[in-house]
Amino acid sequence: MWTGRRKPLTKAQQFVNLRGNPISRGEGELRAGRLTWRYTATPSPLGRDYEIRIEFKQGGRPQILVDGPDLHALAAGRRIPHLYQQKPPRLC
Amino acid sequence: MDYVDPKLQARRTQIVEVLEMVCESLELSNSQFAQAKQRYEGVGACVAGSDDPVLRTITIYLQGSTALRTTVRPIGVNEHDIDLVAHVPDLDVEISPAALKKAIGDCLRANGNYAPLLEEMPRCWRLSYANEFHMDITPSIPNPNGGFGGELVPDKTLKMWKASNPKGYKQLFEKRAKLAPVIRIRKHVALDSAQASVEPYSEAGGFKGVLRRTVQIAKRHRDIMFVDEPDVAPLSVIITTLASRSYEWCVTNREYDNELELLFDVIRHMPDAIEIHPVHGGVQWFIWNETTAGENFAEKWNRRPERAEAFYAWHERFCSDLAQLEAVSGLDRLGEVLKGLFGSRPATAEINSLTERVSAARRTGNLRVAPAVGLSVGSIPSSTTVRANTFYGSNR
Repeated sequence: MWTGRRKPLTKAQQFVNLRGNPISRGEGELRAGRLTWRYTATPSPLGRDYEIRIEFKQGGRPQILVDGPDLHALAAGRRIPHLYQQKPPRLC
Repeated sequence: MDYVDPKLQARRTQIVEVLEMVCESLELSNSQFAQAKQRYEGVGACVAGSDDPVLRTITIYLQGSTALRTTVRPIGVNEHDIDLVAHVPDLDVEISPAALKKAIGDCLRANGNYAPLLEEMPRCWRLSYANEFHMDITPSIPNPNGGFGGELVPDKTLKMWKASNPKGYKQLFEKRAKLAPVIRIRKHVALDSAQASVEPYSEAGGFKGVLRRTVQIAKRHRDIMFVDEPDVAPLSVIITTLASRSYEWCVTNREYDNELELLFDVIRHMPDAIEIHPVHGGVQWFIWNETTAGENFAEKWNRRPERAEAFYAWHERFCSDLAQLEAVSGLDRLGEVLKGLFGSRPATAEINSLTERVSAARRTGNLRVAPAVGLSVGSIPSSTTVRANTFYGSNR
């Protein structure tokens, strides 16, 4: 999973990076063994604002979830591509 | 330093690009224009080469939206309308409009190429090239009292000549279209990051000319709104005249942050050039043709006031539909607004093209992401390149 020369970042380092990055400007919590980060992202200047949540457990893979708006309502029955998990939507 | 929301600024830039592309898809392309020119020059040579001495010095040239380069494809048909003037410089008012029209018609009917395409209209001849153009050819002679260097064309009854000045109108329109607006270049600084600045950027560039695009967008919105009642739809010459007068006023009196703001302002001020005079308890409307003495483009409004009402209703709806463009977020919602403005075919094509441009840019490494703005094609200061998709996970 975490192969290569670089040592994997700790969740505390990830937290600091997320807090310092203007692209993911938001807020989150760092608790024992778990990092949660929430921010708003827009796919383009003409796009909607989406509420994004990142969940990360030390040693695991980060999970990126869309909390709102409801992607399935927007998709109106179409299957949404590029998701690891349909409900709640977890982005690849 | 003035703060401008970088996302709003980027939205406006992208909306201008969307409008520009929709207009391109609706207008006569350069190759169609070249083909039209070839066709009408052929018509001109045919008429001038006829045995009828009346037509010896005839010249054919463009008038109307094709001459101004403000064409918009009519709804539901494949053919663009192309208006032509067949001008005979050495004739005077001794010849009747009906006689000159007949001479032109006889000549075209005698030609095997044109006879099958020929159709008689009240004031002109129409050559219908299927899936290409309708070419309307209106006879004209010099106006001895013009003063403006104008011409005379048949009136509706074909009994009298009336003043017209297509060349003068075109010159004035072109002079106004050339006026350059003052677009302020501001330093945009986002509140949350000293580096998050967004200058106006663009892959496709801005409007090719705000005045021409304003006229095209307005005419298309008019066509969509009045598709079921074309009788009261505001005339193209009224839309064009009001837009060009408003444009001249806006660019000489105001400064703008971007072209979209200018477009909205030009449209907002369109009714300013309508003169309204109280008459016998009612009102009369005047939209003067500045290149022909005494020609009121709003003449019909005074006989049928519902035409004036239709103009003001259209103008109000047009302003509010355009405001929606800026207000909505989400490509799906933008698509709905574009359908209301331009019809479903150009709207769907444009939304698909926007999505495709993002995908293509992602593949070639030109897709950038900037704080608060999101993904964009082209260069934005302080943005990061988006890596190509690997499409892990379910793609079904």
